Amino acid sequence: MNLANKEIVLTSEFTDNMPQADPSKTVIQNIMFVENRENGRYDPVIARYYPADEYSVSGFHEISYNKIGAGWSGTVDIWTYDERYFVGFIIEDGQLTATKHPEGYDFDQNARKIGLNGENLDTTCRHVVSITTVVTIVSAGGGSHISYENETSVHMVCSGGSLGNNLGSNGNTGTTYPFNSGGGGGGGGISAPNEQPYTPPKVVRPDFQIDFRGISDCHEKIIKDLIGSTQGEFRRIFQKFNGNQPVPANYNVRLRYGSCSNASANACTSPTLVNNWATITFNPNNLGNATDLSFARTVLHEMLHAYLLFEAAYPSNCDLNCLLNKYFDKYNTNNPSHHNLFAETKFLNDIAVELRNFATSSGYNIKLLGNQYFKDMAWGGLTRTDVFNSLSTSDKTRIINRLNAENTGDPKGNIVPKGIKACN
Amino acid sequence: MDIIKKLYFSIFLVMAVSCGSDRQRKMDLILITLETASRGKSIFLLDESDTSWCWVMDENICTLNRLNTYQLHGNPRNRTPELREIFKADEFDYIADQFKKRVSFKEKNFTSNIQLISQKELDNKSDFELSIFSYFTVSAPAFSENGEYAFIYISEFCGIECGGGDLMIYKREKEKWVRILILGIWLS
Repeated sequence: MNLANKEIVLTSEFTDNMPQADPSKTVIQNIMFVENRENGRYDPVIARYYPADEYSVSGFHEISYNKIGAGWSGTVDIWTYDERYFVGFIIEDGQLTATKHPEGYDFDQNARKIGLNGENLDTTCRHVVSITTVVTIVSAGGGSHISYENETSVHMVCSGGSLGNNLGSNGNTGTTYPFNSGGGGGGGGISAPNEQPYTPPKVVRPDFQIDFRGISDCHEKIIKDLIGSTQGEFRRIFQKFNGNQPVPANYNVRLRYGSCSNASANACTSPTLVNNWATITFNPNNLGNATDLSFARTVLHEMLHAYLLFEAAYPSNCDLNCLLNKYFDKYNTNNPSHHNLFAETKFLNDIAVELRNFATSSGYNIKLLGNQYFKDMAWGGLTRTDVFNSLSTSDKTRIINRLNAENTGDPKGNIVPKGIKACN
Repeated sequence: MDIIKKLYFSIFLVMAVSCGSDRQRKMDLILITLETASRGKSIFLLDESDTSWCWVMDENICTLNRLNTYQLHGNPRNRTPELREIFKADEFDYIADQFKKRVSFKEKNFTSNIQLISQKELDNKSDFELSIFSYFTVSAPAFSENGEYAFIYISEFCGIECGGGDLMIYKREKEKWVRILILGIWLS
């Protein structure tokens, strides 16, 4: 629910960052209903989004608590319905970097609003990413093997104030306010010193998920169905992209339409992680007749590129990163390094397995499609790899015909498409 | 009169040698780049240079700041030396201007494993043929004004979700081009 006509509370942070901005056109505020386990009901709270720069100015429909944009910078402040500030989140380039908490409580409603400046905040807790390297030495026979495993954890460090380091993983402060029990929801009207104590609901941190805003609802649904159907390696990979922790605990990807340098390509992935966001571009001209299974395969392929780009930038374990480096040593550039790694490791089979899982959840008769179907589909984009070149001519022809049939929706050779047209 | 003729001849000779060595220098660069990409295998190369690679999603990325961003947000192996530390903006513009040159490779002497293909031949291929056909394109080689650094962009097109484009950056060391950086531009 938009609160465009309600009064806007401005922080000094906002007016410092954007002194010329018209708050009525730049600050978004809306009501959210949050489950309050203290009182067993849903409390209305007010969420205010303060952009930190021109780039982050958004329309009402462009930003919401569960959909903070890629690259958005600013502050999201949460107030009770009777304007008691209780938690805020500082976001830089689409990543949560700090949580804010108010200092105590001012009984005067107007004073509460005026006083909400940096110096009045009890404490600011920054999210700190720690990477611990576990070194394992295994001795066997005359030699030994050393392996390095990075474990990433994110925790909050709070400076000063009564909150100390006792914050949970969400935005809850544990703060209790005096509350006039005559008010509705999260309180109401002017408060008085003899009010009943009121504990605002626990508000989890704003969510930073895969950014679907650049693609159609139909393609978004297929991808969400695909994510929901994964069970193996890609479940872990999608989870890595679906959390709200700062990189490298979670990775970020935005999906959009556009033209790739390769006009024949269904999609491409930018090899640069600008502000820790990968970008996958889908070429709508080439996807128009593709089946849902072909589109899902494209998504798996490009997500794997995005994942490897992050793994190269933020190695989580030596097994994958060291392997990736070996491929870079051999092939030099991203294209052959990634694709040969896909084809020569378990990823090729992972694509086949997850595509089968997606087909199952979409209601396809898996027995009718057969395992060979999924194995063939997994080769999409990998037809220049050394392993593919070593296949027999008949295998190569069958695979190429299968990929093209599913991509165009037309029979190729003796192969007919088995998927249904995506987003018809 | 003889003295003037000799002077003209000398100038012509210097220019001819200079142009010849310039051509050779460019050819050397193209060959070592293709050698890296092909890894000894037979490849197809588009017979004209790629003049439009700098435009990505309607944006010119061939500026010092933009490519430096690509570098710093790209593969960690290629983050140093930073382009901004090596070049000034105007020096880089001098280099980037050379990417606009259309160069024909038809008269060049490539090794037998590099086969030229024209845009017309590619246009005549069906979508199906293109989806399984692999070929490379390269830009005109570009050099820094002092001749110490060279740039060449190379891309491979190999069908649906196969391909990539990279900017190779070389430094002249002991009469040889030594590759110092690879910037990933796109990946499919």
